This record gives sequence, C-alpha cells and structure tokens, in this order.
Amino acid sequence: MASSLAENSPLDERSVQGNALRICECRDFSFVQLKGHRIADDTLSKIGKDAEPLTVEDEIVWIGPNERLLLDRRDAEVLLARLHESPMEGVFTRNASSGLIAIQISGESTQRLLQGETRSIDFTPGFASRLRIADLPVVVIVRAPDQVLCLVERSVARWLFDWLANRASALNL
Amino acid sequence: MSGYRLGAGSDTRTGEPLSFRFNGRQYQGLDGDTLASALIASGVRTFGRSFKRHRPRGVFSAGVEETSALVQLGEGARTTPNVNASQLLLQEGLEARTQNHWPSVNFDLLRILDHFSSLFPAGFYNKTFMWPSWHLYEYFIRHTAGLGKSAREPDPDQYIERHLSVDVLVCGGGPVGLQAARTAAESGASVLLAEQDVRFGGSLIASPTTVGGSPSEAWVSGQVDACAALPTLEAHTRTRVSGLFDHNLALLTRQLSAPGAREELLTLRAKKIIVATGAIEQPLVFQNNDRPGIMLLGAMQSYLHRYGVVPGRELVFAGNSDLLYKAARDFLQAGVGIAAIIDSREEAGVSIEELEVPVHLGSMVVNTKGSPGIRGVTVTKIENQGVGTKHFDIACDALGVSGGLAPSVHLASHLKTPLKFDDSIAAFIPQSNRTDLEVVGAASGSFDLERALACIASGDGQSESAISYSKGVGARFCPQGSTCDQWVDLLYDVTVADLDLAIRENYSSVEHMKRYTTNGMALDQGKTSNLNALSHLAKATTRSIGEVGVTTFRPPYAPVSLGTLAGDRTGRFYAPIRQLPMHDAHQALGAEFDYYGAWQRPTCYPRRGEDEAVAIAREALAVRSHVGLCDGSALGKIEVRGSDAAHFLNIMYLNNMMSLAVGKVRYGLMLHENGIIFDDGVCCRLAEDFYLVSTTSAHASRVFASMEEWLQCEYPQLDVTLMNATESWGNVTIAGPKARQLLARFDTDIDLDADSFPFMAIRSGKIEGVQARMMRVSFSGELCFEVNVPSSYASTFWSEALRRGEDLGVVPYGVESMMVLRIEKGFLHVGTDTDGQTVPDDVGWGHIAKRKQADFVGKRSLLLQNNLREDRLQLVGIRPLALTKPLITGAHLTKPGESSSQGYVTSTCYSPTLGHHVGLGLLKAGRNRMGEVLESVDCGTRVHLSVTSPVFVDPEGERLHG
Repeated sequence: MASSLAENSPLDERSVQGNALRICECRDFSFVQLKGHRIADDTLSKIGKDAEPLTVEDEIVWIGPNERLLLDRRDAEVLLARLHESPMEGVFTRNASSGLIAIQISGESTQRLLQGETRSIDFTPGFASRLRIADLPVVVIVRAPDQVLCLVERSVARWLFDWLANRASALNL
Repeated sequence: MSGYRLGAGSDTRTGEPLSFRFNGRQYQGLDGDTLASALIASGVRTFGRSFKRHRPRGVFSAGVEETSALVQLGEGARTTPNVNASQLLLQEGLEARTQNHWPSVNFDLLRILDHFSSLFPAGFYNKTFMWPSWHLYEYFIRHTAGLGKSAREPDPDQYIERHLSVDVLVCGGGPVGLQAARTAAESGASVLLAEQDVRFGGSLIASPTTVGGSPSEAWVSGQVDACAALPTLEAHTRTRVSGLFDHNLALLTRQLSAPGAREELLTLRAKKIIVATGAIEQPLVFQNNDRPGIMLLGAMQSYLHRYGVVPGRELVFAGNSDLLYKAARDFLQAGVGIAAIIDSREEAGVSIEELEVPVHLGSMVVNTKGSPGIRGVTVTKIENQGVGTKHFDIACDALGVSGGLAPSVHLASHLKTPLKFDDSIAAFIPQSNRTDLEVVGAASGSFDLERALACIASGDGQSESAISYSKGVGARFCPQGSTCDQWVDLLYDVTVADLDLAIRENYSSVEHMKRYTTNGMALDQGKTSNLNALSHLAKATTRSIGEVGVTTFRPPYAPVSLGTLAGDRTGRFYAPIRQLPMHDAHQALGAEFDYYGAWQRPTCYPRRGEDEAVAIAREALAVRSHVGLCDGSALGKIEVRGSDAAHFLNIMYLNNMMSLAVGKVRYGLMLHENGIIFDDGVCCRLAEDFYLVSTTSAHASRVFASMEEWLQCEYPQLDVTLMNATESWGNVTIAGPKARQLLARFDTDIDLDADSFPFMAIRSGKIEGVQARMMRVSFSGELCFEVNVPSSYASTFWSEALRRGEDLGVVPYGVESMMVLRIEKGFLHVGTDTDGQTVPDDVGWGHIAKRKQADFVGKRSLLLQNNLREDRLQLVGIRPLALTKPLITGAHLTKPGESSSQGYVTSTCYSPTLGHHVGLGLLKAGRNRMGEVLESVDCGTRVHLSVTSPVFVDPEGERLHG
C-alpha cells in the first residue's frame, strides 16, 4: 500500500567559508537498531562482517557489546526482513530510521570543529562510537578524515545543527 | 613622578609605541608592556584604593599574586572588574580605570573610613552597626563595599569550551616545566604544557642568570625550540591551570586574541600531572607596609629585565635572604643605584663587599613615610630577638621587599596533597606520594635550579627535600609599631591587629581565623598573605607553624570569568531543546509554545483576538463536543522484549502486568525503592514477549535508565532487552466523540469498531500505507485514539487529520487544554499532583498494592508505618463555594479561620464544561473528608471551598468507553 503521507522536510544546509566546512542533513541511510543479551558471531553474517568495538564495518556500527546500529541505503524494512529470514535467539531489531537524523560534517575544518568538543573522536576512517556532543548522545561515524556523520535523536537534531554552526562561528572556521 | 623607563626590556625590545587611556588620561607604552609596566614607566604610582579602608595602593607584584593593582577594564558590555594590571598585556586603545574610590583615586573622600578603622575590625558586621538595626547601615555599607563593577549589558564576546586528554599535563612553563615537558614528550608521551605568562621561561625571564654555563635567555630559547619540534608536545602560553580535580581532571583557561573571542575553557584529563608552578615571593610585615612604591623585590627585577622599567629613583631593598643581593647585582649591572639594603639576618650568605651599597645587617624596616607614595623608611637594628631602640631614616621612593620564596603549592593542594612546613625555607612544601602527580622544582621547595633540572633529566623529578638558602631565612615580621597599620592581607585589608583580635576572641584555629578575618579569601587566594598569617598565629599561640596547619587552597587558582565557565552554553544554547516531529506544523497553526522539561510543546493555539485562557477553554470544549488533535509525541515509548518481559515489568510496576493479555493495555504506577511514586503510564502487550511501555514525557529517559539499571544490576538473569523508541514514533492523539469518525476517513487495516477495538486496547497495522500503532487510552476522558506513526510521517498525518476533519469541527489542542481536560476527569499528573512523599495509597491505588502478591520495586517500603498513617495527604477534588472564584495552585488548605496547613492545592483550572473553577489537592486524610468546607490560603487571599471527589466530569466513564 503506497502512502499518501509525505516525509518531513530536511534540515537546512550550512556552508562556512566555501567548502572549508559544510554541515547538512544526510538522507542516504536508513537505520536498524539491533540489541540483545549476546550478539553471537554469526548473527550478522548474512549482512556483513560484525564490527569491532569503536568501529564501523560493512555499515555495521558497534555501539556496545550487546548493541549494533545497522546502516542501509535501502528501506530499513528490507534489511529487517533479511535479518529475520532465520531466527535470531535473544537478539531483537527495530527500524530506527524515523528516530535518528544523520548530520554530515565535511570539509577541511571538520576536525577543528569536533576536536576538543569531545575527547574521544579518532579521525581515522572507520572509527565509530556513541559519545556526547553538546551534552547529547551522538553516534559519530568517521567516514573520511574530513567527513563525519553524527547520528542524533530527531527531536534535538535541529538544535545540534544550530549548535554546530554556532561553534563553527565561535572557532572562526 | 617616580618610576621611569631605563631602556628596552626583553619583552619590549622590539615594541612599537602603543597609546592607551588610564582614568581618562592618554598614556603611551610599548608593545610587550603590561598595563602596570607602562604606567610605572609613566610615573603613575597609585593604581587604586584598598577594599575597606580606602588607602592608596600601587603595584605590588608582577604576576598572579597581585594584591593591589586591580583595575576596571573596558567600557559598556565588555567592561571587566578586578583585572590584574601586572598581567594585562597592553593593547592599542586599551581603556582602564581605577576602582573603589569617590570621586577620584587621588582624592577619595571615602578615605575617611581609614580614620574610623576601629569601627571596622575583623567580623565587624557581626558586632558593630547592630543598633538600632543593621538594615539602617546596610545600604551604605553595601554601596561602598566591593571592588569594581560588572557589566550591565549581556556579554557580546564568545567563549569556547574544549575537552582534551593527554598523557602528561605540565603546569607551568618555567625552566623546570619546560625541561619536564620536553623529557616527557621525548619519551613518546602526549604532553600539554600550560604557561600563564605570555612567554615561557618563568623566573629566568624575570631574573636572568646562567643555566648549564649558558645565558638563561639562550637556554630558554633552545628549550622552546626543542619543544616546538616535538610532535606530541602542545605548548601554550597565556594558559592557566585554574584547578585540578579528582581523577586528574584539570580546568585550564586560555586567553584568545581573535576578535570577539575572549577566553577558552579547556577541560583536560591527564594520566599524569607535573606541577612546576615555581614559587611566590612573600612580603614583609611592618607598619605602613602598603604604601604605593612598596613592591615585591622579584617584581622589581621583573619590571627591570622584562620591560626596562625602574619603579623609583631612590631604591631600598629590605628582606631576609640572599635574594636581596642577587637583585642588587641585577640593578647595579643595569646602572641603577641602590640607596640601602636592609637584611634581617646577622650575616649574609654571599660576599657583600664588592656591591658598594650600604648594607644594614641584622636590621628591619619599622615604618614607612610618605603620602600617598613612599618617601622614606625607618630602620632599626634588631637587638636580642626584638627591635632595637635606635631608629634611623633612609629616603627612598621605592622599596623592594622580600620575605623569601614560598613554593606555589596551590595546584598540588587542589588534589589534597598533604603540605608539610619546612623550617629551612620557612614555607610549606607538598608531600605527594602519588604516582600520577609530581611536584617539581621550586614548587617542591627545591630552589636550586641546576639541581632541579638534573633531577628532571635523570627521571628523578621530585627532590627529596627542600633546598634552603645559605645562611637561612630571617624574620618577616617587625615586632614593633602599630599593629593596626601592619598589613598581612593587602587585598582584603587584614592587619596584624585583626589577627590578634581573632586570637583574643578564640578564633585561633586556622580555619576559624581565616573566615573570621577573611585573610586569604580575596581574589589572590592568600598567595602572599597566608604564610605570614599562619606564622603570626603560630607565634601568638606558642605553637609551631606545622602545628597550626594550613587551610585548603581551592580552585580556581586565580579568578576565572563567569563567561569562560559558561562557555557557549548561553541563550538558546544553554541546554538542548527538544522539538516535536510536528513542530513546524504547530508553528504554522500559530501555537503558543512553552517548555515542558526539555520539550518545546504547544500550550494552545489562540485564534485572532483570543487570549490564552479563551483559547484553552475553546479547545477543551471542542474536544468534549466534537474532536481534537493533540501532539503526544513526547510521551516515552520503551520497547520491552524477551521471554521474561512480563516478569520484568511486573517487578517494575505496582500493577499486575503478568495477566495482561496480548492486544491489551494497562495503567501502571512506577515507584522508587522508597515507595514514592516516580512515574505513571501504560503498558501495552503487543505479543507474548513484546511490551510497549508508554511513560510520561518528562520521565521517559529516566524511566529507561532506571529500567536498564534494574535489569543490568539486579536481574541480569532475565531474558529481557530494552529499546527506547521514543523518537521513532510520532503520536497524534485524536480525542472527542467524533474521534472514530475522523479516523475512519483514513485508509487503515485496523478495525476501529468499539467491540473489536475496545478501551484499553492496542492494535498494530498500517494507516495510509505506513506502519501504525493505535492505542485506545484517554487522558481527556473522551473517546480517544492515540495514533503512533513513524516520526518522519507524523507531520503530514497531523495536517491530513486536520484537513479531513474540518467538517467535524476538529481543532488542535495544546498541553494546557489537555491539562484542563484531565483535571476535569481527576486524572493524576505525576509531579504535579504528587510530591516527594506521595505513595500509591495517597492517590487511591493502595488496594492494588495490597492485593499484589508478587514483589515489585518499592513494595517493602509501602509497609513502613509512616506510609500507613491515616492522616497522610490524600488526593481529593476541590470546588470553590463561590463558583466564580478562581483557585490558586500551591495555596494551603486550612480549616476556616485556622492557620495550620491541612494540605495544599496541586492543580486548578477553569472548567469550561462545568462553567466554574475546579481543582485537585492533597489533603490530610482527604478521602474521609468529602463535603467538608475548608479555606485555601495564598498570600492573604482566602477562598472557601468544599472537598469533593476528584472526578468532576463523567464519573461513570461512559464517554471514554464510547
């Protein structure tokens, strides 16, 4: 059944000093939260290689010992269906696409913007972690040394977006 | 005119002339000058008036320990009080003025207070000005008290906060700090070196010497270059370590030079902290030791070497150690004559013959002369441990005083490092036994630079003991003269007489004396006053200084502006603001917004010409008569999954969740362990092993965290997984008699019929092709469907519902309208109708608790005698006898004519359905007092009311079951 309802409009886009820093909403991904008592080695084998702690591999983000966030460029329901082809004992999934907004920060000033706001970002591509930015829980995924994806709860996405832009201005980026 | 510029100093060597204004007058300095050095060079002596007695004061130091040269910087929104002139770097166009005087610094009428100083002894505000009332004097005393004025306009500058972590933090960029940072970085550690001054080098730039046979300036340059070449070493000047805290958390403040950006706050974690903060020179105590022109000897050297400035034409040095002779040589080499040297010791530790300066050994300064600045000193020879009877005068216009060096132990003290008094240097030294904290160099009492550097280089950073001066250190106190005019704490005007008074009044504990006299409590944190006060206390109470002890030095090491601490957390960035997924739609409808916890939610949707009260009444009536839409997206939505989900929820909730059938919904109260109501909501069973818990908006994240804690810490064996889905689902609450009619206009596979979808049921399906979860619950008392759709579709679903229900009279209603509807129905609002003592029985849920056999959080606490008392506050309804009289939330409930409180009003509203005001309240033994007439009392307003059932509308619940 096709929907007659339209999705929300994206956040604004901010560019600072040409392409030195660009902050925008990234709508490339849908998200599936996977959580359980214990994630077995073969739980994720049908969609990719499970990620090591503090990394993202095959679009699988390691959030914690018993939690992963799966990124997919298709509808999350497709990925969920694939995951549920065979039963997963003690592991549960849900479509988290609606609750998360991905803010993409790119450009040569990316590291300067985020460096120091939180102690824990390693700007090596493949780094991923849930940490705090501006007192908010944010999943940070380093896609390239000058490109970082910040996944944040929908309700505070606009506030964080403005906060990042304000910080860029305060740092004269 | 007294001070003058001799030539270029190391800081002003290449300096361009800069113009600045001080007290409205134009001056010139050099690039590299501080405000103090530029003003001294211009002959200015008076930099302000003292805190209590309004005595003229000049520059006393050349660093963070400054007690007197505090100025008001800038104008308007950027003005800053109490800026240390001896650390303020001169800039073109700088504007500063003196503080604490009227009408001017040179003619201060408030100086009269000095002549009545006997009225202002230590603790005077507790003893004098009591008759007839303190308030008679309070205005005038408060008006004259305080230093400087804060800006009245919002600060336009920006402040930045950064978080860092390093292996090693080195506090202090003096010679030992530089060496320590270099050694650590060369071993591969990541290092941050923080120096508060504008240059690295510490004592070596203030008093050049040789290091390892090389001139100190070249040695410092070499070290700085070597540090700059190390990739893991980050070195910052103008960066002060303001505080050290548990687990090696450090707070650093860094001055910025970018326009509009003033300061940066760095919060840093270090695996190891090296404190290399050097030592602070201590002053001498004698009569009138506060006149402008008297300054620390080391400061005089600093002004000479760094800025080429000499603070007077006739110099006298007085002290108690060999520091006197090192300073004398520096000045003589620069071609500046010295009138006399006064050494309180009988014998100098160095040869003094070649100095060709009159040296008075075994002598002390007794008094000074001059007004406002110093014009001469009275000296006496010490006889038999006291001051002799033969006095003589020496003319001078600048007096350098040195009571020896005291290790700067403040930062080590922040980390609770024990301090031990060392007689050989007459100062406290830190006794760190931690492996992650090292105190090195002069900060550890090791004043021999070469030896300290050797210790660092060999990896044995901390010296075992203090290294004393040759021939020791002499007396700092002159035991003669009026103690009322012997200053110990220059900044807070604390004299020896104040200390004596405290001791006489038995405030002889070091902690009591500090607070009674305020000694050491000013902006300088007692950097030059604590030691002298302690030694006086020790002598007066015939104890050793070690026995007297020392008070705790607390952060910040030096004043930190509030703007820096606030960082970028101001205005709309003060705290995160949560917006609903339909926020833009609410804005388009002209909603009024307010904050409910972190959520920005619509209170109501006033139409043209309506005020808030009218809009709320209209919206509530529309829900009762037609249909309304409310955005309930902020409600918590926690998914509880696993084979033990029912068992777990049965533990978390007072209500029985084991017996809940699939597809059904049950109300639940969640308690703290002490039995107090924490949250309420509904549990929905979507499958045998799948529950959806709907919590209150404000407590959603706290309930989730609490559940995780119980699960992980107390019930890890349960097969339960918790997922917080609050943000994933937008909630459009459709309430009113026409709710089903409206919902039926959408394409959905969920059967909306009352029989197949009854009250307190949940259904999953699709609506307009998107996932949906619908609940038949009601907070309004009307037929109600809570429709949950993915948040990204919520906004268009909301707009569609308004469009499709136009002919049904649909209206959006806000949180305040929802509150009216729930008060009319007597529905509990946790946090409003409950307080920190409310247990389930107080709100009518005691029978459920009694019936439930299984254990649940808070169960045992409900059996405590206090929770079973019959006179506990219980939830009741209240209705004014004069129906048009509004009730006041928070008002006390009393018996008519009495004053003792029987409870209080928790919620009130005007009920548009009933046409009068109604309310809810917590009343002692309230359920047994139905019909009783009481009064509500609030700030003199009394309203007669009767106690009723809390349910005012549809007590049978027929409407919500519709």
